[in-house]
Formats: sequence, C-alpha cells, structure tokens
Amino acid sequence: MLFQNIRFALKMMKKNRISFGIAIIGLSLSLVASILILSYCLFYWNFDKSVSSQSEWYRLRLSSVSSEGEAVHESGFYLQTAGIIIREIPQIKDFVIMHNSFLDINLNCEGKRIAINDKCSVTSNLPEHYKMRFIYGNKDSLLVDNSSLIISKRFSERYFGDENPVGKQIMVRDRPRYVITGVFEDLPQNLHLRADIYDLLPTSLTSVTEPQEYLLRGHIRLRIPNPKDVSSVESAINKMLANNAELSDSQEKKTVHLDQIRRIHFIGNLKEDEPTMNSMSVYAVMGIGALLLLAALLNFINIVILSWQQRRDEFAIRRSVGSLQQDIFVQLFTEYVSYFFIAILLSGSLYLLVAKVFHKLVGFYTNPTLLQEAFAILGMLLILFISGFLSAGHFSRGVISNTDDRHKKRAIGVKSILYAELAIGFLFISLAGVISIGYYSVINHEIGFEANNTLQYRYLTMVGSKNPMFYDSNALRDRIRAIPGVLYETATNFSVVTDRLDMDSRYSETALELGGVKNAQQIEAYVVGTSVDFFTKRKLPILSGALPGADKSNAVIVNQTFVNRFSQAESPLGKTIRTPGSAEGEFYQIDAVVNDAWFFPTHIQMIPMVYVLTPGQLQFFQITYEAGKKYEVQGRIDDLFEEISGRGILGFRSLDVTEEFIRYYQPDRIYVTLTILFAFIICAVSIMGIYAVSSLQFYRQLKDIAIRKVCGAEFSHILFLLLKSYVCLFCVTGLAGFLGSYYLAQEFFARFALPVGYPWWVLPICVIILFLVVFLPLYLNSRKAWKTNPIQYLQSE
Amino acid sequence: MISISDLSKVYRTDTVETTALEILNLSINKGSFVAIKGPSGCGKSSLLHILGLMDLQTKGSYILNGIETQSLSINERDRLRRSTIGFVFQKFNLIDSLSVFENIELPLIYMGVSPDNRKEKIHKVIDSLEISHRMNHYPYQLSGGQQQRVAVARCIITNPELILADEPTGNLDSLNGQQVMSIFQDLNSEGRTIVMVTHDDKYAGYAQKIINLYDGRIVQEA
Repeated sequence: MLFQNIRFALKMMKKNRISFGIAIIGLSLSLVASILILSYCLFYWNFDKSVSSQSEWYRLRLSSVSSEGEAVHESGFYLQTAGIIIREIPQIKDFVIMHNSFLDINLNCEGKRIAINDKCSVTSNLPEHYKMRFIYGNKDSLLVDNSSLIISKRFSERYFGDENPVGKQIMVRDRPRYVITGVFEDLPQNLHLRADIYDLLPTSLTSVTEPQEYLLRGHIRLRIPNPKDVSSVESAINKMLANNAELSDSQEKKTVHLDQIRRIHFIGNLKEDEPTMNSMSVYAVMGIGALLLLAALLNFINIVILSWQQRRDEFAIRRSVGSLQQDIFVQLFTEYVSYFFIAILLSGSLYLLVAKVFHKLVGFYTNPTLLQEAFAILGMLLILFISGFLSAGHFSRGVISNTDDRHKKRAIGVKSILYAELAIGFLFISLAGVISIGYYSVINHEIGFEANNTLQYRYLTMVGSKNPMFYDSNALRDRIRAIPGVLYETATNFSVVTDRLDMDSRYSETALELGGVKNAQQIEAYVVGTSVDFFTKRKLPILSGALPGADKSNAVIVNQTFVNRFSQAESPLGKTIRTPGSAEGEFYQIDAVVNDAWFFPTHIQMIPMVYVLTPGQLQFFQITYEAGKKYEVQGRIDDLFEEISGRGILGFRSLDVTEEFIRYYQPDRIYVTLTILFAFIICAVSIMGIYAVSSLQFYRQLKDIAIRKVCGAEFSHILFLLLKSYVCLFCVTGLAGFLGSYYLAQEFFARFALPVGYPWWVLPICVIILFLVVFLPLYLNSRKAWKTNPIQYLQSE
Repeated sequence: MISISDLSKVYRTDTVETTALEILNLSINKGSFVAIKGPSGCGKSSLLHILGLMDLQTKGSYILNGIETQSLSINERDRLRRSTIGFVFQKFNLIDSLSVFENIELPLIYMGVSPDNRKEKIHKVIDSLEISHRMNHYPYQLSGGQQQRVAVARCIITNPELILADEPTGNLDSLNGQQVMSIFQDLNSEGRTIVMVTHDDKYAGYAQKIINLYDGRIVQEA
C-alpha cells in the first residue's frame, strides 16, 4: 500500500512537472537559506559562549562622561588596580586577565624570522577558561613562567609545518626569549580576544599592593558564581575607585560595570571594542529567515493542495468504492512526505554546494557539530511531519465537508504571507540595489592621495618614553630609494592608512590658537608631521597658497576641512598657529591649503589637519614600487628594517595600503553580499508564492475563464483578469518594502562619514524587478488558462 | 455558411482511441435553423464544439463563412468566434460574481465597444427578452428560465450570425423551454443561423432541418 502510494505520488509529480518543480526547488532553496541564516545568527548568538561556566563570568567595563557630556565606555581596565580589588573583594572567586602586547619584535626561531602581531599576555588559567584543546604540550606545564608560549595550530603550521614545535626556543635577536610549551586547536572565530599566541602575564603587574604611577590597561574578567553578588561587587569596586584616586589614571569620575561575558559582544559605543553586529540585527535576520521558511512552506503546501483539489473527483470515486477518510489521509500524507523528502534531499545537496561559498562571503566558517547537524535534520523532519499531518488531515476532512468559511480563512492567511514575503522581497531587492551602488561609490571614492602599489613601513619606538629613540629618517629614505624596484617614497609621522585616530597611528587632537597672540581663536585640530615632498609625490592638490621652501622652518599646511571649520570667512593663508601658552616667537604660519585626503576609511569623519613640515624623526615610510615587484621590494625593505632594528629602535611593522583599505570595508561588503543573496532567494520564493496562489485562483476561476473565452476573451484579457487582483498587492508591498529599504539604506549609509547620495534611479529598476516577480508566474498561469480548452468546464452532459 | 467535408474527431489517450465523429459531410445555409439529435455519446457536442471553434477536428475541413478554419491560429479562431458565433449552454454558464447587466456586457467589453454603446445595446436586448427588471440581480437570484434568457441575451448582444445552442432547454421546465424556443424562432426569423443540439423531439421540431447522429455518423437528415 505504502509503495503504491509513493509510486502514485511520483506519477502525480511527473504529471504536474512545472508546479512540483517550482514547489520543490523553492522549498529546497528556502531550507538551505534558512539553515545558512540560522548558522549566521548562531555564530553571533554564540559569541563568547564557548568559555567555561560562561554565566559566572563578567567583564569589567569603565564608563565616564566626556567634557561634551557624552558617555564614554572603555573595555580596558587598570591591571594593577584589578590586582588590588580582586584580593579585596571576597565574592570574586577567580579572574582572567588579558593584555594585548605588540612589543615582541625581532623574533626568530632556528634562524627563521617570526612575526608576532597579535600576542596576548594572559593569566595562566586562560587555557581552561577558553576550553582550549591542546594538540601538543603537557596540560600541567603550559603557562608556567614568563618564557612559556602557547601557539595556535594555524600559527604552528605556518612556521613549523607538521612538526611538533613544543620545546623550540624563540629568540629575540640572539637571546632566548620564549619556549613553546603547547599547541592548541584554533579558537572559534566567535570569541573575544582571540590570538594565535599567548604568554604569561607577569605576576608582578597584578600582585602590587600599592597603585603604581603608570597604569597598564587590559581586559579583566571576574568569576562571580552568585549572580546576587554582582551589584554588590560593582558597588564595592566603584567605592574603591572613588576613595582612591590613584587607582585610576584620570581625574574624571569613572564608573565600573560588570558585563556578562555572553553579552559583551553586543555592547556598543566601546572605545577599541566595537561590536561587529548588534543583537537587534541578529533578531531581524533570524526573523527574516523564519519568515522565508514559513512562506516557502506555505507556498509548497498551496501547490500540493492545489494538485489534490484538481483530483477531487478521484477522491470522491475512492470514497464511493469504500475508501475511508483515514485511507485518503494516509495516501495524501504519503504523497506529501514523498514530495517534501525530495526537497530535503535537494536542499542537502545544495547546502553542500553553497555552504563554503556562503561562509567565505560572510567571512567566517563554523564547522557544524554532529549535534547541530542532528538538530537540523530533526527540525526538517519535524516541519515535514507537522505540515504534512496538518495538510493531509485538513484536506482529507475537506473532501468530505468542505466549507466556504474554511476556504476564506485559509485564503486570508495565504494572502497575508504573500503580502509579507513580497514586501520583504521588495525591501531586499531595493536595498540590495541601493546599498550596492552606495558601497560601490564608497569603495571607489577618490581617497585624495596617490597610494597605488604602496607599502607602508613603520619602525617602533617606546611610546611614552621620555627619550624615544629615532632613526635618522633622511638616511633611511636614501637607502629605501636605492632599492631596485622602488619608484618613490614618502615619510610621515602618522599612518596614511588607519581605521583608528589614536596614538598608535599618531593622530591626536591638539588644542591650538589660530591667529595672533591677542584675540586668538581657540581651536582643536590634528597636528601631523611630514616632509614637503609628500604633497607632490602623493599628489595632494594645492587649493591655495604654495608649498614652502626648505629654508622656511615654521611653515605649516592645512587641509580643506581645517579651512571649512575654522577660517571659512577669510583666507587662512598667512595666519599663525601656536600651542596655547607658547612663547611670543614660537608660532607656525599657514602657507598653503591642500585638499582633504582620506588616510582612514570613510567611516571616519574628515578631520581638520595641520601638516607640520619636519623632515627628521619620521617613523612611517610609504614606499611605492614598480607594478609586479611587490614581493621582491618587500623582501629587501624587510632586510633593511631588520638591519636598522639592531641600532636603537625596537623593530618594525609593514602593511599594504590597498589591502588595508579593502579590509576596512569588509563588514560593509558582507552586508551588501548578504542583502543581494537574500534578494535573490526572496525573489525565488516570492515567484513560487505567487505561482502557487495564482494557480489556486486560476483553478477556482477555470469556469469563469472558459465562459469569458467563449465570450471572446483573448490572452491579454485573461492576463489582465489575473493581474488586476494583484495590483493592490503590488502597490502595498512595493510601498512597504520601499519604506523599509529606505530606512535600512539610510542606516547603512550612516555608517559612513562620507555623504553617500541615495541613488533614486535604482528604484524604478527595482519596481520593474518586483513587477516581473509578480508578472512572471501570472503570465505562466494565464498562458495555461488561455490554452485550456473551455469546453471541458462548460459541458452539460 | 457552414461547410464540413470528411470531418473526423478522434480522442486519444496513451492507450485508447475514441472516435467521436467519423467522416462527416454537412452544409448549413445562412439563416437556417438546424437541430442535431442523437443519443448520448453520439458526437453531438463534439460537433457543436468544432462548429463553435472551441475544438479542432482531427481530420477534414470546416469552412465558416468562406474561411477554412483548420489553418487558423488560436488568436484568429478566437477573433472569428467573437465576431461570428454566439453560444447558449444547457447549464447557462453565467458568471456568478457578475450581475445580469455585467454578464451581458462581457462580450461587448472584449469587442472594445464604448461604455455608452454597450449600455444602449444591453437595454435594447434585455427589454426585448423581458428581463430588464432583473438587470442588477445576480445569476443565483434568478429562476432557470430567467438565467437562460440572460444567457441568450449575452449570446445575441454582439449580433452573431451563427448561434450554437447546446441543449438550451435541458435544464428548464416545459413552459420556460417553450419560451426559449420561441425566442430562438424569433432570432431565426431575423436572419440568424441557429444550430441546436437537443434530445427532445418536441424542441427539435422547431428547426427547419434535423440531423440525426449515431456513433459519430450522420444517419439521417430531414
């Protein structure tokens, strides 16, 4: 019986190839899309949840109020202060400290240079806290002293291949510095403060009893097992900070907050720790995924039910020859399960094909665990059985007692889903169009200076030291120029490519006085240093004035934003700039105004800049090479900087300017890609939805259509007949979708400080696409209706 | 007006062939009233549907008003039907969601007649068929006889030369049946050609010519 029912189901499917093709492909696409969306949401949802006993751990956060009255949050807390409070407050049962350090330079292992860019100094309990799984190394002797170093599998493979590196010594120049004590499996990507290398935080930093003058900051986590103690611990820390000013490095009042570890990823407005996704967005994406699945499921059910409705006579005959309601239910259920099962198989194959591409597009990859896979399969089977049971049950009862009321209720539900999916469809189509254009215009935005085929090198010196060591930049530039393949170079004391205006990139806002000693205008601008040839070599257009000669030591150049902000009414040329409180003769004079240059991604507001022309003590070197000679030139410059590293400076770092700019726009690229992907899927599901509903409508109107045909209706009349009932749907969903997409596009554009115009011309194109989405299935059904011979619906005998 | 020669109609499924009409030869003059009679399954309706350009013959020729219909495209057949033929069915086949007025108006809309002209024509027809008081009613609010009169009104509103009636009295009582037949007689006297399928000898008697079909063949022409 079962076999017979399955065979019958396949026969029915063969008979209605187009309908079932659309239903099964549409459902498969939605299943795959929903699984991918779910994995995307789970990635963010599970951020930091892989730590052990995560509900008991809290991160220390500082907040204060800026002079402008805005709340400022910082995720870094004072290490020494942390040591004191941990000992003082008994409710704190454990702690983890992480401190990013970039001072490990000039390292080598067995003569091979090792670049460590993201080392983190931590307390010895971090491996346990992060539930690290070790491939090599003894668990009891991982981070035992200051020379212990644990590395990730990825890092190990990069430098040591398949070899077990445990026991290898890492040298700083010729002195032993570290011994590798363990290799751990790569940490999940959805974990805060992921690093490839961890060493032990010097216990001296946290074991002080008296606060020290120089307060290092780091990420502090406290384990407070009893949630009721959290507020009392917060109060106790705040009280300690209030009573001991020396525990913080600021005169401002700072308040401490304890954030649950599983929530820290979504806490925004944090200095140096911006979330990559907010929780509302995750909910929204999840909601869309669920709606997509629901819509596809309903469309699938509609198409299957339609095929059953067309076989009403067959069921009536079966009933008349003795079939019971339950026999019909079993037959319908078997058919439904057969169709759905094919969709599941198809979606499984599709998932295997597209999962890697999807994860590459969104920039992460999480291997689904067996449990997750089992849940996904279980979820699909659950949906299959529930929907099949309800559909077959509903229809097998309907065969016997079908009422108009039931039809009406169902029609309202189906129509509501259709409205929702089309509105979301238009939202995504227009959003994809608008933000793609916006994104395209942002990434192709003229950055204002020449940076093609350019590497930037910087040498490192002790920050904050009273006597920082500098290398003679002029001598270094001469040597760089002499390297074969180098076209030209420039030097600055600020980074020409950075996503943060901070001390590390040498941008700091400075209080200045513009104008004479008397009636000087108090301003704040970013003072940076470079040599005068920077403007000519990097092609920064001179808007007014002229570049000063080499003999003029007090000349400065300002940018367009400086003029717009501080000297719009009159030309700034010739005006003086001085630091407040400087002596009578100590001033700079503005000699030229240059165009703005985006040394940072367009997310950051353009800043007023004052270029001080200081040829010496420049740490950042921009080197433009001949096309195709990047690696050759890079090797030679590496050798040069390696060589000078031994002469008083600490080491060097390098980056590719173009690659850095591309990296800055990665989140935007992911949003655009996801939106386009959603738009495609939702279009496919919408076409499927309209096809299903219009097929049902067409089936119910067959007699009407036949009569109209007999009365002389042509194809266009039948098409119009079906189309006119979708005019309202088209207009309402178009409007709702447009409003939603306009809002979201504005949100997307607000991510950029650079004004991005709303490309209105995209909208008519999107309206046409939406129209096609509605029109295509209606056209198919109208053709079918038109070709149907009317006599079979009008016969009397 | 109608000339049929060696016309056959065979219905085919994967395994079975059923011959509905077999080598028919027939001509119907303009202005004549013809009744097609015969038992169930003899091919009456098949012939009527071919005459009405709603179905295609398998073999043979069908010339309507001098036009060979076999070679026409679907669109051309639709247009020829719209301009030449009117239908009346046993089950009336009115659209339930449209009022009497709108049902009658339908063919005129498809012909592109202006609203004013439509109104005028409809009033003329419904007055002549005495259903003007039911103009705003819906089909389900009418009796069988009234529904059939509406169907006739819809059929003649475009002034077709040929009226094809498929058992027009089949769902009516004798009084209403006679009323409908007298309408057909009036239409015929105005010069319209009428081809009517019927079982009933009484109603076949209204026709000038009776064609008896049996197993897809013409067995008698009277």
